[in-house]
Amino acid sequence: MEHRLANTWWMTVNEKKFIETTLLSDLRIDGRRPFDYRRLTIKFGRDDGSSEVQLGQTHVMAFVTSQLVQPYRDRPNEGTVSIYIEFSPMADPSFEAGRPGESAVELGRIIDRGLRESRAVDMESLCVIAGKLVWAIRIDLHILDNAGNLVDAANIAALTALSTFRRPECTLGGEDGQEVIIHPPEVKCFTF
Amino acid sequence: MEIDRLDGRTPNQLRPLACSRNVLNRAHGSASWSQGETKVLAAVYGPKAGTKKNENPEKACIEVIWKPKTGQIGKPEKEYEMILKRTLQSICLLTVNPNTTTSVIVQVRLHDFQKQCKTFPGIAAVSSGVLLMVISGLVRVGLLAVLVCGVVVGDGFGGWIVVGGDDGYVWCLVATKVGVGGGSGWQLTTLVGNGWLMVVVGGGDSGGVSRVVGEGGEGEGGGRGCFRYWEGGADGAGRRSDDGGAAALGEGEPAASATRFNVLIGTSDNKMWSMTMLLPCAINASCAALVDAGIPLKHLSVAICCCLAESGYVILDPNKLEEQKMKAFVYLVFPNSILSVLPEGSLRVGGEPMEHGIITSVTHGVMPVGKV
Repeated sequence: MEHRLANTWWMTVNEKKFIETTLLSDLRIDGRRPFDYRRLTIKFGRDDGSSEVQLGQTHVMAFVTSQLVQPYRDRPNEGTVSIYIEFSPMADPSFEAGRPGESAVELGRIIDRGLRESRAVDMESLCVIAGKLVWAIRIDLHILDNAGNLVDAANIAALTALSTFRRPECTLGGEDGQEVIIHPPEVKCFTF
Repeated sequence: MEIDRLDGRTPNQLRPLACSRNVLNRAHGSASWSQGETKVLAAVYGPKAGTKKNENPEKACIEVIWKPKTGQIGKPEKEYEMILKRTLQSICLLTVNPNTTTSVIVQVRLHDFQKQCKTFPGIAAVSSGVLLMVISGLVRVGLLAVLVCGVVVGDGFGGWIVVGGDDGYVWCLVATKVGVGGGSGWQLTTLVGNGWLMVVVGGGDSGGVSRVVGEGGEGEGGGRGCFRYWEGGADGAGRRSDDGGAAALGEGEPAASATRFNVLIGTSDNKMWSMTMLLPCAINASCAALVDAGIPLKHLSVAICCCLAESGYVILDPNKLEEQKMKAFVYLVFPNSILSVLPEGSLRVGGEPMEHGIITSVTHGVMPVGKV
């Protein structure tokens, strides 16, 4: 218990009062106006499906990977997208390693619902063999630096990583024609 | 003598390095290290009040958290955390801030590009302190002296390395093939060190530790090592973490004096095989991050990886493709202290400069040998 207390940063009454007073004159502590965004930088890695977003000092990294799994019974021709977000102790001294805390779970759900309800990913395109094999997309989000507004930064990171991700091509082959062959990223299959 | 590497490097050439510090805002110290396509980010928070339950409250404690790129945290990550923790504990001055915890968090950003890519020679933009670290690492790994002792014979295994020592010196030996065909054998070459010699050769089905070489004895059959954690004890006997039934080290030979060193022998079946290039980068990044945070250190450390090719030659800094093809590889962490012109400036142990020594070494794989 003492560890967590020692690691949190307690704001003084003066600081709180200062922030409230300056907001009354439409000014924020770093000089921005109320609706001004910080500088956004998006970088992509060499591998498909990796991105790094910097929103001011907030730093988030996202990686997208895919795996062939069996689909859910009630959705035999749809793939799945799952978000794994962990507040790394690197980002903030108050984050602890181990089980994700409340705010981590909440952030994960915000991103998940945002992607799911907006139909950002076409689930049916992730199907390989209906009822047997579908692609399960996994998005890993790593928070590297917490300087506020993790929701925006993490959402942008997840979306940009998904944009650079390429689903591997599969064809049916093998002796019985039932075996699924996964092709490397350079190969693109065409069906006529 | 030349061996062709896929990306056109010479056997002694490292991939381009880059290191930057203070990359994160919240962390007390941070550094990013990239070697070719392997990129690692390390952050340090510390010292924080209090130590964990099993730690000694008289000293500072270091906590390592390893974050892989994707996937759950499993055994390999715990392995890395342990290795990193022990390495960093030996370079930090633990008595300066007793009863505190310093956290080191390592995040893997990129782990080697699967495709073959051309690397350009030379070393990329690097801060001067780090450049010195790497150069001195190179010097250490170069073949300083040649020692031929009773080579390991017999069908089965061969391989390498490590260990032994006297008054803080550690031998590191690399087995290189000498001769061709029927007349070939293994020449054991020292990398650093002084003092007497004890060779640990991995192999056998039961375990990584086998007989002492030096008598020209026969090796054991088999050919696959197993994972072992082994530590030299202060009383001089080599002990292993589990009792595999293989012979204890140093039969009849005096083992190392009060030196502590960490040796891990792994096998090619292990999942760690494809991930081990990360560890040298992580050690270097953590060291730079500790410096950035201002944690008191005894000296810096530098980690390097080298592997043993089929033909028996040693090559430095393998990338992922090379690593998968190689039969055996090791990485070594050396202390990197100040080298001063004045004799009092440099750290010395027993009258010799501190450079000679190994903090940690991790080995993987074994190789068969032919008859001499």
